[in-house]
Amino acid sequence: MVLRLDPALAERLQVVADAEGRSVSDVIREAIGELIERRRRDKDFIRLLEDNLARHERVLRALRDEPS
Amino acid sequence: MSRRRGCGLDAGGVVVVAARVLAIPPEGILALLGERELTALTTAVAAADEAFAAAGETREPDRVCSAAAALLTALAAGRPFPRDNRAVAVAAALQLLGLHRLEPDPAFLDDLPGVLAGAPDAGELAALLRGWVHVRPSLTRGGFDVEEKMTGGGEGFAAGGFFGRFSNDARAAIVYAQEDARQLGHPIIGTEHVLCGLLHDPETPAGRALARTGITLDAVLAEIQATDRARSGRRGRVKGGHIPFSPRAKKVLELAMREALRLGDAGVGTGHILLGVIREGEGLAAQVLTRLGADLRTLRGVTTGLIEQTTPAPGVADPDGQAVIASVEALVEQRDRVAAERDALQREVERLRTALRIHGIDPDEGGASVSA
Repeated sequence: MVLRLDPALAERLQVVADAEGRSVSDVIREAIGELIERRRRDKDFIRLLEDNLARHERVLRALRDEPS
Repeated sequence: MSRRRGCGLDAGGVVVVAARVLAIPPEGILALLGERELTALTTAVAAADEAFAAAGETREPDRVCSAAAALLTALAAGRPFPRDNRAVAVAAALQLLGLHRLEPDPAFLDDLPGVLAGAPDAGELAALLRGWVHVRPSLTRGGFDVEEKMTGGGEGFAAGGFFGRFSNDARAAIVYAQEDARQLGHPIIGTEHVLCGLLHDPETPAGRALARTGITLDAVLAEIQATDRARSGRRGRVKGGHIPFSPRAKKVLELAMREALRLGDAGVGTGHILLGVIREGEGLAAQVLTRLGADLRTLRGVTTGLIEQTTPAPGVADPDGQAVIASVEALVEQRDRVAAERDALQREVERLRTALRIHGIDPDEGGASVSA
């Protein structure tokens, strides 16, 4: 897996994955999971998101995939 | 390891945006992301961070536009999400802009589907965006455009000013304070107006702490008006525009920042402002609270407790960015510690084996035998 990370960190990430018998994707997924939790508890972030989605609903709808 | 300053939106934030757009729980989104999709997602976030860092010497809105354009184009091209990628990419870019209190002009957004159909690169899109971005009128409550008042306040609401570290709720409270001063006909914003501002939103830590103490906005306003009458009518006519803070109110805000620092919070929220009011202790706000039966020490404890229950994340969350890397680094460090302990144990075992051999004991034999 090619990540745009510091090469030394990417190498160490691979070591962690190897040591724990997991894939690099799983390690990354776990890290992102922690960030998701932090964002979900961030009231300002969620308020901004809801505000954005409400204010720009029309353009976002126009950008959705065509139903197949 | 050195840490670069990120653009303010990390991979977790993008997934939360995607979850809301796609109406799928974030965990569901994460489970759907395979190796290719994770690469596309992390690459897009890294591209945004790099664009933000590369534009380091330019003014803040230009940096944010570069980062938003990089994020949008990389997400649209990488297609990490199972459907509606362009909608998610645009929503994520809007979120990134919004975290920096910016948004594109509606006319730009109207044209955006056509622009994206031309598959612009990040540089082209950033150049377009820069011409169409403005400060967002973000916090609209009851027909009262807070942001408009904030930008007209002249007290450093702009990013980097005194209020740059205040949360949106805290900024809204200050704007309400200004409006309350105006409504009361007062020419300055005093501590009592700051207290009123904190009472407008009962869901904030300060609003909840005051509600638990039995303090209401109506009661505070009545006390202020009673004080006005006792002072032979402080009420006057205040024209529109900027109303300055009183020295005591400024002290309250400075104390709020100190309270945030004391509690280890990155930003100043409504709870910190209330702690500032309490700590200042001598202004009309503190007097009103006491007259209304509040015990300031108890109120301080309640407020601190509510702050600690609230995630500290004002304005731009995760100001350092690079949070994915930080989390990964934590995992790596944990692994390194375990490896170091294991190595130390192995060295100790080897030392003991050597000691056994010196004493004529073969450590690899099942039973201990001592040779003469």
